[in-house]
Amino acid sequence: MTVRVRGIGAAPGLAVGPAAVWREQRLEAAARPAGAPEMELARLAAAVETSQEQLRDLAEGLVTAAGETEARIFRVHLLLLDDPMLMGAVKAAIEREDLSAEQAVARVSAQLIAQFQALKDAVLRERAADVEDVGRRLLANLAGKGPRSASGIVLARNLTPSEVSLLAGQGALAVVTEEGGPMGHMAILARALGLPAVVGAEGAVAAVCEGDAVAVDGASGEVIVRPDEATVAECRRRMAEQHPVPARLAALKALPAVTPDGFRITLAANIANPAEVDAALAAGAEAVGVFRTEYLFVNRAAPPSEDEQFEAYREVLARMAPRRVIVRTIDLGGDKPAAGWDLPPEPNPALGLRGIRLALARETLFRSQLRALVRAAGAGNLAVMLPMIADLTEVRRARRLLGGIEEELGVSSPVSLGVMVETPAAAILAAELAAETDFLSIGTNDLTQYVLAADRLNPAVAGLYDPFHPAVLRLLRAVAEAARGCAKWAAVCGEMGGDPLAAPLFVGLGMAELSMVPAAIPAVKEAIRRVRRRDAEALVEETLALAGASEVRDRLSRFARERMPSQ
Amino acid sequence: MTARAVKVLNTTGLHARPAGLFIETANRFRSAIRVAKGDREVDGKSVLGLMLLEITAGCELSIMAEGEDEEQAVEALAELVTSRFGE
Repeated sequence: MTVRVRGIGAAPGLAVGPAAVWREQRLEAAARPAGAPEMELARLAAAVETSQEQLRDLAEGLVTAAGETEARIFRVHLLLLDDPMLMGAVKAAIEREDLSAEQAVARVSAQLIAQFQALKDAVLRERAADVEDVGRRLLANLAGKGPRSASGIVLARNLTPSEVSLLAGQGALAVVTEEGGPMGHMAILARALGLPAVVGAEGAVAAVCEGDAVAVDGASGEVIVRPDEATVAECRRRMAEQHPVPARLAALKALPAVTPDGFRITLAANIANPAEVDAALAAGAEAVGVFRTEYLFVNRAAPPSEDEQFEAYREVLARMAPRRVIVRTIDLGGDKPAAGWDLPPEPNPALGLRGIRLALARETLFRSQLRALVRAAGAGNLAVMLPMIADLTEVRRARRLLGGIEEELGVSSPVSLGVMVETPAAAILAAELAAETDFLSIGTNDLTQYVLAADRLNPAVAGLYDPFHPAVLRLLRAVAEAARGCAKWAAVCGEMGGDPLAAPLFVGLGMAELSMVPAAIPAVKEAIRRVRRRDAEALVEETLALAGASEVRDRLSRFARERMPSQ
Repeated sequence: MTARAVKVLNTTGLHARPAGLFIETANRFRSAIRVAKGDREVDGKSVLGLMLLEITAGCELSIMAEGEDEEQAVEALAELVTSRFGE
């Protein structure tokens, strides 16, 4: 009998295949008598070395596929393999208690996990999962068995980052977990690796037997166990459509993102450092929608000089020219500390001194960034965007600073200045902000978090966080209309901007630009080229009136399906 | 043995990044290093140990070193903590 389980879509993509139930392995040693301590220590050293190689490969693979942030988790694991509290204790247990390497690893990791689980701080408590992941890796390597393998649709209570990376590499079709949220490590990795994933699918594991057919929709979060033939056929047809073959993508690269009735949208790339310009151009980006400048300021002992910043901005502008580059001014806060910014302790960084608030409070540092930008402007097509704006006063202060610098440097044509709309206040005041600036760019990630009062990093409420919520959509419409009313242009630069499911909405709203990770550009372009502006406008009105985010997603999925070319 | 009491001033206490910087600095010295908070004491070269101390902003820590370069080690680590880990 067909069973439907509803989870949270964590990484988009469709898959149909046989179920593989991933049973958790207990963190325990195989029954094996201990050899002499010297021998056990040598086995341990070999397992550590193998583990280090695996982790370095995983980290490097992820840097290439996704980025440094996604790879960081495995760098932490590498650090643990060198930690005296873990490895020192394991060695001591082998030497003093004649334990096998397996027994020592199992016992010491279990003790550490228990200690971490007892901590009060939720972030630190999560480190238990890292100790467990490293402990399992060591045990697997000690057993000399290669990593566990599974293919098809893998269903589990939970998966570690290592397991997700492994499964993606082994060609698993999709993963479904009962626990976890869409912003957990596992979900982030699955998205980075292009592995369809559903999280929070309670009851999914109990609903399947090994080998049962399962259909998964990683966008809507739907898991169908033992689907009937018609459902499977429908799913396969949609897969053929949603999985554009490379040739089809390559053919799209040179084409504009234009609807059949002639509405054109600029597809831009979000980049976090100058090295990412190559990927942006290769994906066919027509602009840079957000150049995040934080990389210049974090993880260093002193803030960068004006000249160092100038070089970085000039490089990106020159390489993208004549395409426009929107540089977002420094967006630091209590959660992204940086040298020289003197960030005070804050109980709630999301509502604290961050973005433009911090920039205006540290005027000397902000001035050095604006000066570097004005100096670099001649190298290409520059626009400057201010983050976390909540009112006109902030815009006017920044504008005055910028104007003063332009005067100092004898620049006659003012730099294009826009506002990132990510606070509800900015969305509500969009008309006033548009009147005094050149453009509005909506940061859907923060806007969603603030409008829905849900922290997407908190698993308990992550399910409430969804940019497709009608309240968020209504604000998007208000911002688009406000910009149009002042003859200014509006853009979307949050993760939603790169979601093909949302593309018809942005066409309907008349957005001028969508900015996204470079890899998302072809699929969004394809979605735009399939929808008529008129139909998209009607779709916007229809979705704004729906009850909630999942109804909106369902409606958009249906809309996209109806517009796929017939086979 | 050289020891010094310091107060943690940075925003986030000793989460992963500052803890990483701390052990990176500690590993530059040959001396054995211990860190204590209240009556709990851990190896100052262990990122796990430091995280288990649950060091938050405002905590008083005691940094102890024993060995040939103990004075320099305590000096460098105390400086790192009081400079808010270069934030």
